Formats: sequence, structure tokens, C-alpha cells
Amino acid sequence: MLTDYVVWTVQYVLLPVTVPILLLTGIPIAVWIERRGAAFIQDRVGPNRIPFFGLRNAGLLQPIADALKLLVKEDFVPAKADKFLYYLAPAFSMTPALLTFAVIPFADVLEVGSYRIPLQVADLNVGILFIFAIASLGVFGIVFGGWASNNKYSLLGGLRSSAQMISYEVAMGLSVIGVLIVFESVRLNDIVRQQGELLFGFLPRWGIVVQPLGFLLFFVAALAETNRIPFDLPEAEAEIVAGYHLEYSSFKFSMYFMAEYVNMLVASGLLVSLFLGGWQIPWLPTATLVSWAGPWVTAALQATAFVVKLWFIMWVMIWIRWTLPRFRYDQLMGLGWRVMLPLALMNLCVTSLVPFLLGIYGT
Amino acid sequence: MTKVKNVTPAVRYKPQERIYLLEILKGLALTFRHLLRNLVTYRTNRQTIVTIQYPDERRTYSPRFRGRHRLKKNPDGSMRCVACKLCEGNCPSRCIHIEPAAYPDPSKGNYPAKYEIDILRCIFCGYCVEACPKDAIEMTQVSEMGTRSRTVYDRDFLLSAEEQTR
Repeated sequence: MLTDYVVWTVQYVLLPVTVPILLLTGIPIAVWIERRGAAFIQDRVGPNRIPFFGLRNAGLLQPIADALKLLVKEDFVPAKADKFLYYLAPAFSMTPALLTFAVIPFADVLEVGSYRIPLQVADLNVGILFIFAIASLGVFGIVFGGWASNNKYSLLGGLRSSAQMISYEVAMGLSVIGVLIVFESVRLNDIVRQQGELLFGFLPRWGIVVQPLGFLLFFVAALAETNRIPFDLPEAEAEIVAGYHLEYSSFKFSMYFMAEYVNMLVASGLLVSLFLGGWQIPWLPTATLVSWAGPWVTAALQATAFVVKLWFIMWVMIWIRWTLPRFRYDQLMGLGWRVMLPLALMNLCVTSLVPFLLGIYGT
Repeated sequence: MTKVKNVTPAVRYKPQERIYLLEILKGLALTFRHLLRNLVTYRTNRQTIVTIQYPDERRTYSPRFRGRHRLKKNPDGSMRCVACKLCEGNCPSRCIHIEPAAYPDPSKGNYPAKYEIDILRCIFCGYCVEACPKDAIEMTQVSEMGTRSRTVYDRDFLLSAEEQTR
């Protein structure tokens, strides 16, 4: 049934094309959840005015209407803007966001006959390092946009963004090292596979169980890295109007907008992979599932589990956004350097020492 | 120089408040309670959502609401206005302009050949209504007066507004 050619096509054409498309499909859904969720949290109704051939659909088509509106708007370039960087910046924001998802596995390796198809775009052995390397590039999109707009508020937004990214990337990286020590790998699929094991015979060995503090730190840092409230200092409407994307309109603005949501999706995917068992269905390891339902159904079920977890984290991010106010700038820096960093270092020390003290891994 | 004393006491947070997490969870619980309540009651009569969905639903205004003017007619269809110009004289923003004319039949008196309200100047104070001895002008409930062309309401428009009282 499967030939080398088909496997090659799936691995190098089908997956790299469909995964970004699915990721982009997540944006309107996220926007819809965000707007309706916000409305209901604030005792409002939210968008409900876009009928589909007379069919009311609770505003599901609102994001599409918004996108169309943005497409036909005037594409404005400010006078004395740095044209090259101004055009480059939104793309520079979007591309790393999409790239990082490449190494996140959404199901176990599909074993059909003698073929092994990893269900992720790129099964890199440097997984997490790749994510951090590429995700750090995302800040350039914001800094370029802020600089090239020739606007003082945009510049402030870009400055804040770079300071924030540097501060929180430190804590983020350190909180992840704990996980890497526990699972002894940086390849994401290995990390996820080990989370299918059981602790004490009943508790899934998820990252959140073995690294609760790491989970908390990573989650907070992920919120900061994706510029979500309460860490949306770079755009802070009340203080610097809209920050780095103040001068952007039309499709360039929607690129920034989409990049924010793709970043959220990627952050959720990474969080799920590192701490919430990735594609693992609790208490049902891949071997058991395959013996029951065959490899294809197993892959589908695991992908579903991954998507469910991912959207749960997305919802928590949206929920937090509509609950908390924005940090003051010194509070943001204080939290990053004086709270998150020491806690992450402490977590790292304890995680490194415990195996030796318990003699689990020998000396 | 008087000494200004700081009367606002410094807020002292308890330890459990200083680590934020518990308080954040409380906040999340609050917002989630609102979300659930609105999800449950969304399609029921006991709605907790306060939005008035404007073009479909409207706020009810007070019966004394002062909206767009209209000129009233007698039961036989003739104008009640006798062009006495009291409203014009009483108007604080001087937005009413009347040109009287006489009926051919002297027993019938005068009528306004021209009755214009510059709606851009009008402040909707209702003094014209109070000044009118013939109860010929009144203010309707209409508040939606957005337009691109008609900024001066002429006599015939004010008369035709009869049906739009809502």
C-alpha cells in the first residue's frame, strides 16, 4: 500500500503544507473565542451580526468579515518611514511564529509496515533549542516595525518589547532546563513519549507533575513572550496608543495581528508538549492504542488529544487576558528579574540535585 | 505655609496577597462565574447580559423626551400655526425663521409661508413648544436625525413628520 514515494510526499510535502494551514485556521477560531468569551465575561453579547445565508451563527463569521475589511482598507505608509524595514517587519513577525510549530509533534510516530512517519513537520534532534532560536527572532519584527514607523509611540513599543523579551526569555529558558533534566532529551517527541509513563503506578508522568514550578514559570513567561495581557506592554493602548503597530494598516496590520495569535498557538503547543503530556492520552500508551485500533486511528486520537489540550491552554490565556489588568513597566521588570529569575534558578538547582540525593540516576 | 499631611494610608498587603497567585485565581473564578452565568441564561428570559441590541431593540425614552420637532395640524388638515413668531422670539439659539402670510379670507388670519428650523443650531431646549399659544409645535420621540443633506427643516417637512412620533 505505502511506497517510498508516498511516504516521502507525506513527510516533505503534505505535512509542511497542511500544518501551517491548520495553524492559520486556528486564528479566526481563536479570535472568535476571544471576542465572544470577552463579551460573556463582561456581561455583553459580542459579535453576532454576520448571518450566513440568513443563518445566525453566533458571530462565527466575524473574523472573516474583519479580515476582508482589513484587506480592502488603505495601505498606509507614513512619511519618512524606513520603507524597506516597514514592509519587512510584519513578515518578520509572522514567519518565526509559523516556523516554530515545525518541531512540535501532534501525534506519536506513525508506524505502518516498515515505514516510520514522524507526525510533525521536522523531527529535529535539537527540538527545543530550535524553538528558542527561532522564537527569539520574532522580536525583530516588533522592533523593526517600531523603528521603521518613524513614530515615537511605535519606537517606545519596540523598545519595551525588546526589553521584555530579553527579560522573560531568561526565565523561560531556565524553567525549561528543569524539564530537559527530568526527561534527559531536547527532542520534543522523546519528551512527550516519556510523559506517557506512570508515576507511583497511577499518576501520568506529565511535566506539570514533576515540574510544577517550572510549569508556572514557563506559563507566565509564555504569556510575556506572546505579548498577552497582563504583559502587553509593547502595545499598551492606554499609554502608547498601540505601540509598534500604531502606523500599520490594512494587511500589514493583520499580519501583526495573525502573528500574535500564531504565537499564542505555538506557545500553547509548546506548553502542552513540555508539561501537559503533548499528544498522550492519559493511561493509554501508544502500544495499547495501536493493538486496539490500529496505527491510523491511534494517530487521529492522539492528534485530537493534542488539539484539545492546546485549545484548553488557549482558553486559559484568553481567560487571563479578560481577568487581569496590565502591569506597570517597573512591575514587569521587577517580576521578570527579581521573582521569575531566582525562582527559575532555584527550580533548576533543586531539579539537578534531587536525582543525586535520591540516587535515582546513580552518581 | 501649611503642612500637607498625607492622609492616604499606605496599603499593607497580607503575605497571601503579595504572592498574587491566590488573588489571581480568585479573579479568574469571578470572571468564569460571569461567563458561565451568561452562557446558561443566554437564550432564556432571565438574561444577565445588559446589552441593548440597538437597531432591533431600543431603550424606551421618557414621554417628556425632546426629540425632533413637528408642526401639528387641525382636524380639518389646516396648519395650527398662525405665524405669531413667539417661538422665533423665544428661541435661545435663534434657529427658527418664520415668514408670515395672510389667508385670502381675512377671518382666517395668518399662516406661515415659511417655517424653518436650522437643526444644526437647535439645542432641543423645547422653549418653542412652551412659547406656542396655539399648541402648534411639539417635540417628538425621534432622536435619529443623521443626514447628509437636510440641515434646515422646512415647513412641509415639519408638517409631514406627523406620523413619525413613535
